[in-house]
Amino acid sequence: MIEEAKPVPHSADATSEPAWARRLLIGAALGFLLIFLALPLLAVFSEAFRRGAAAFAEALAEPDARAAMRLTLMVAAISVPLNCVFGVAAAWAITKFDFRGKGLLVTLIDLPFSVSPVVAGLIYILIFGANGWFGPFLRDHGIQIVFAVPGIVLATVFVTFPFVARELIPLMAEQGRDDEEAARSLGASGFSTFFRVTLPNIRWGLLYGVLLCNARAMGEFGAVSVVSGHIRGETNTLPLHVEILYNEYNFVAAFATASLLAGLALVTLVLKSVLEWRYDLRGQGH
Amino acid sequence: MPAAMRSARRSVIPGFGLSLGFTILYLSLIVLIPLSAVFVRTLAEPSAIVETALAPRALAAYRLSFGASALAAAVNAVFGLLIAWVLVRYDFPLKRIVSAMVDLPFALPTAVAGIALTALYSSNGWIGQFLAPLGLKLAYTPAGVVIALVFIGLPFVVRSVEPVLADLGRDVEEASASLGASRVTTFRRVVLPAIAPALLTGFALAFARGIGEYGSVIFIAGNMPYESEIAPLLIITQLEQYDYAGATAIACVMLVASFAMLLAINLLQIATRKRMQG
Amino acid sequence: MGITVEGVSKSFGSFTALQPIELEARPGEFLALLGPSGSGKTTLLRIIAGLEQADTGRVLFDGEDVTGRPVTQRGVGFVFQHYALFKHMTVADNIAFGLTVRPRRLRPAKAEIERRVAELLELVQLKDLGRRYPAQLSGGQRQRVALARALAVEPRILLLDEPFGALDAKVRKELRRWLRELHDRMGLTSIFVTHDQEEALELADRVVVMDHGRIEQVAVPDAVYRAPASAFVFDFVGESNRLPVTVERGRARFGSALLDAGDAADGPGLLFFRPHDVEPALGGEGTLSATVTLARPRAGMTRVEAALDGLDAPLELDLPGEPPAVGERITVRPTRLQVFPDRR
Repeated sequence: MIEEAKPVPHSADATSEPAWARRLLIGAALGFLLIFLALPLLAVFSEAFRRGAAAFAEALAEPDARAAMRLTLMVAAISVPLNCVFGVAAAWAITKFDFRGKGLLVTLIDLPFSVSPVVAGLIYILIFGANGWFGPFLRDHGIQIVFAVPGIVLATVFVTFPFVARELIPLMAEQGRDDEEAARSLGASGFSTFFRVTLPNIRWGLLYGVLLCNARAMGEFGAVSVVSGHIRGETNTLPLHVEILYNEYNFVAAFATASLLAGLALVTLVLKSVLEWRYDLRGQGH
Repeated sequence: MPAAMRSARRSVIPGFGLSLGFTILYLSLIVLIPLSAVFVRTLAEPSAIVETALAPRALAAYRLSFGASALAAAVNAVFGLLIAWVLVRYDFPLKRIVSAMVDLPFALPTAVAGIALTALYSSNGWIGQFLAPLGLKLAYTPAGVVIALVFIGLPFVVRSVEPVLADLGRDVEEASASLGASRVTTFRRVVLPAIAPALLTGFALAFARGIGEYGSVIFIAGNMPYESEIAPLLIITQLEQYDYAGATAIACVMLVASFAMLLAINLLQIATRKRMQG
Repeated sequence: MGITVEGVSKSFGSFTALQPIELEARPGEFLALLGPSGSGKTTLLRIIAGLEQADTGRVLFDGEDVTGRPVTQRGVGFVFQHYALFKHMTVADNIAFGLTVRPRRLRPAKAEIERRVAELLELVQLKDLGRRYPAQLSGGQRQRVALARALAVEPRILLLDEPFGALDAKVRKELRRWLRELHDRMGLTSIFVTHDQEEALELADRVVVMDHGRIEQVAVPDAVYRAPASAFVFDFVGESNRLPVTVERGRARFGSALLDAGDAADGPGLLFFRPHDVEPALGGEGTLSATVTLARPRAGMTRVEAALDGLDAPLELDLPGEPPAVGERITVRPTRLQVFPDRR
């Protein structure tokens, strides 16, 4: 007679710390989080409203601020779907098939995470800049990539490159291939297998990846800063707008704009936590 | 490749060629070819390595970037472990919110973090005003760089350690206690070695991120050459002076450093898996 | 070293893991705590070890009250169900652990520790594996490392939680015999938890049968099987047939059948008998008639399953001679039976 091993209920008498030690450790951890995470967040909102709500609203109503918002939304609207399609394709190839060099491919997909954002911007200047590989060609045809919107999109795509793929790869690997094979054996086409079997299985993981990808796309500073050219009202994203205002000592406006981005971060955190609790997803961070 | 194609053909799931082809094409266009430009350009003008990338100003910048990153990662190793421990082991009010907050540095744009930290630590800021009378100046000094990097790196350590700590069976600690080990001894000899690889991974990730970090640092750093100028900023400075070769050479040094880190992290993880899983 | 458990009880929230328990393990005894999961056997073992604090009651070692003594000071050897080996230490370091964590003035010299480890490796027959890591060992080898580690601190009491639970059948049998020898040779007092009755009956000096946080019976293995003290024990240990009966003046009625109920009290009762405690009969009082649904020859007899009117499960009977045909009506007389009051 073999029965299922059920967990025996037990308290942690032998492996827990005395109450005073527990309180001390919790206090130290919360104190650290308060100083290093909570205070900076509070400071953003506090500085943004330092001169009152009117100054806050005025800073955001400014045409340059509006233009920066539009550009940020547009850049995200292009780069997130691109990386989303790539993430699904890469995860599909990597988890549904066996081939040599898979480990290398997975490592290469993560590569942009280990590259400094500044270098990420620099590489596109080396290729598309005036002295770059395609510089003369682009100049002859009147196409501008760096110091213009296409460069900003490219740099953003680079820094957000792995987000969707790295959420989907472990998720799809865990789900295996049985569902797809079953669908195919029942006569489903490749497309209906994907849309009716695979996609419903991965939608929450996909959403999670998109969420993180979007947060980074809207908030990227370093890479975009290198390729943007900093033309007000034209090639300034919200983070770059924050920098310009700050460097002009226009602190209220800078923090007002920053508070928009901080709000975005908070919304991202809330949605991310909801996804984690409800669908048992745990991201890899970054 | 022939073997790969054969095994893929045997699969009833479609789309191998399409998905892998697109993946490799997109990866090459966005990441691999542009990155290779750094190495190609550096090799084309190797003199820039000596003139700029190994010049005293660059060496000072590397020293600051690596030193501050290492220091910040060490601080995060300690406090990240503490936070992971508290989150895994104890219950307290608002724990879920605290846990979600840990990811703030991943979600908050770096420029926002940068100006917020600067506002806090400048001499009239919420924290700076208490430090100024003590003669402590953190903003616009190398110490400011460390503060920004602590902010940026914290989640790497917490999120690396947390799952490992949660999976660590209580029975191992009970075994240690039944053999006479005190709580502190159990932590030092049983718990810490078990989570050391995860802790080291978290340290390395935070360190690697710190080396390349730009947005959160430049506002608080002061950016004085030879003193509080980080390597990524030096690249930007070179670019602004149209010294592309110099900027590229510094980028090359940084890329090599980050790839070395990446390799070290992967090797560490492989070695750990081998030993723990036989 | 003797172990005494006095009035120990334990609850986890609203779940009562242990009703107040009285138990005595004599010095040198090998005791089995047998019961289904949730019966409280592991909780009792953990309380004796000091891994868990009892809500009420006392635990005494050789008459000395150790209730308030933490696990680190109790000096018992504890072997965990899943071994709980330290993965990052070699086998030798695992075994040496209990010695190396002692305060400096009580810690043996390095050479002495090495000697002890070598001795223990020999004892558990893992002489050449000291430098391996736990992940490189088989399940049976890991179990022996766990034992050696527990024995290194020279405990007088050895507590084992499902020590063979995670092993395959063959390894389990070998280890069992070896453990029993070890216990005898080292003069330990041992208590082990198991849900495997065969293991408990074969290995233990006495078996403690537990259910729902209560001790149902404490007896030598033979008595547990031959003279179960409760309906639960009869049911849990060995094969049995169970009939819901009504007892009236020493007779148990099941449908039209009347059987001897011994001195059972009047009222609803549960009548038990073992498959082999029956003989063919002609009918009349003290017999049961049933219809054969299955007959399988076994060594020296036939295992018969027979449907009895008014009973859902078929009777299990071991009968001598040729197998009866399916559908045949047979009559048997239980030669040994017991009736317990039906508590429900």
